[in-house]
Amino acid sequence: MDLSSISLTVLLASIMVASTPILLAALGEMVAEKSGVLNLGVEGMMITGAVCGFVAAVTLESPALGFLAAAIGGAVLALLFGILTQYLLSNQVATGLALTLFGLGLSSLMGQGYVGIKAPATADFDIPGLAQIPFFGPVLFQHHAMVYISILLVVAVWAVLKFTRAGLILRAVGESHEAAHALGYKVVHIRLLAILFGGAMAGLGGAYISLIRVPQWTEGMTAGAGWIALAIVVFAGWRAGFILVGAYLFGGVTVLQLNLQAAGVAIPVEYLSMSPYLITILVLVLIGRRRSGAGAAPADLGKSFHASS
Amino acid sequence: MALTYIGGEAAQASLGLPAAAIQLLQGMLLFFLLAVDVLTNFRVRLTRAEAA
Repeated sequence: MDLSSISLTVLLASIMVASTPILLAALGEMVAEKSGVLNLGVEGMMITGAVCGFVAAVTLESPALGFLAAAIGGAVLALLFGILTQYLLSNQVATGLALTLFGLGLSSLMGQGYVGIKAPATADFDIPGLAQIPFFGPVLFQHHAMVYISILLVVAVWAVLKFTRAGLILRAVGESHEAAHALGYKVVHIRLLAILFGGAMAGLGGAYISLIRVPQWTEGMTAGAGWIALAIVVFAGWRAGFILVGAYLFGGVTVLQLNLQAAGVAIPVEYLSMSPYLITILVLVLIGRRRSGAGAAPADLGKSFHASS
Repeated sequence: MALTYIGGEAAQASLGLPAAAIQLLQGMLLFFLLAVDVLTNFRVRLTRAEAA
């Protein structure tokens, strides 16, 4: 056992890298669920985003265009889900699972010619001035631009949901679609937009894995990150701030336990591997418990809306 | 679903289809099933657009 081999700076910096995809996907899913749509296809949208982003980035040799393609790819898959659940009123749970199945198949079919290729290199975006600070600079301010964008998106989603009229309407649709419909809001349109946002965010999260974290394409490379994102949304009680905590906690414990495994700590590997899941769920349940009322699921989550019924 | 798994394996063996294509087909099959499910609950009737 050699704990001194773990560098705190590298550890903390890699936590930010490991958490970003889950954070992006969970944030998008939270917006969709706030509008009352339970989309279990996050994993499928993530992996499709990962392959779309990778293919676009390799062929166009531009990571930025790759991220754009990933967002579009995720949103297109989400549109499929939206049409099925919102217009054809299919069961949201079953459709979400079908979306995951479909997305996994589609992605490995699309990525067949791209296995083993390296993604175009991306430069880290050092925030001028702040990146030179010892310790805090490498940990916080020397990452890819996507890491900062994800943090800004957390703040943006929180602010929009809490302070703006659009956020209020979105939440109203999620809490009671009948009442929102009676007020004249287009329930199906609003939900479709929320689904598309969720898909685009999941796609971005997937592309972050295939373009920056790994960076190459392998089949099934998201490895359950979409399911973790779904769980974090629930345990964070549909609050953007808690999603940030949850995603960083999960990413943090994942990185930490990998480092502990490498350092040869005398804890069986199996326990270390399950620790991120256990600790994330435990902490989010404990911190979310205090305020009852807040952190409840949107009342109309997972229910189909049909205007004439 | 079980039939598509067996048929998928047969297609892999005889036609040389990649496993991904079969998974894709299974996903699409589920989508079509879910999409036409609306017909068991609703009757499609063509009407003129109502004034909102």
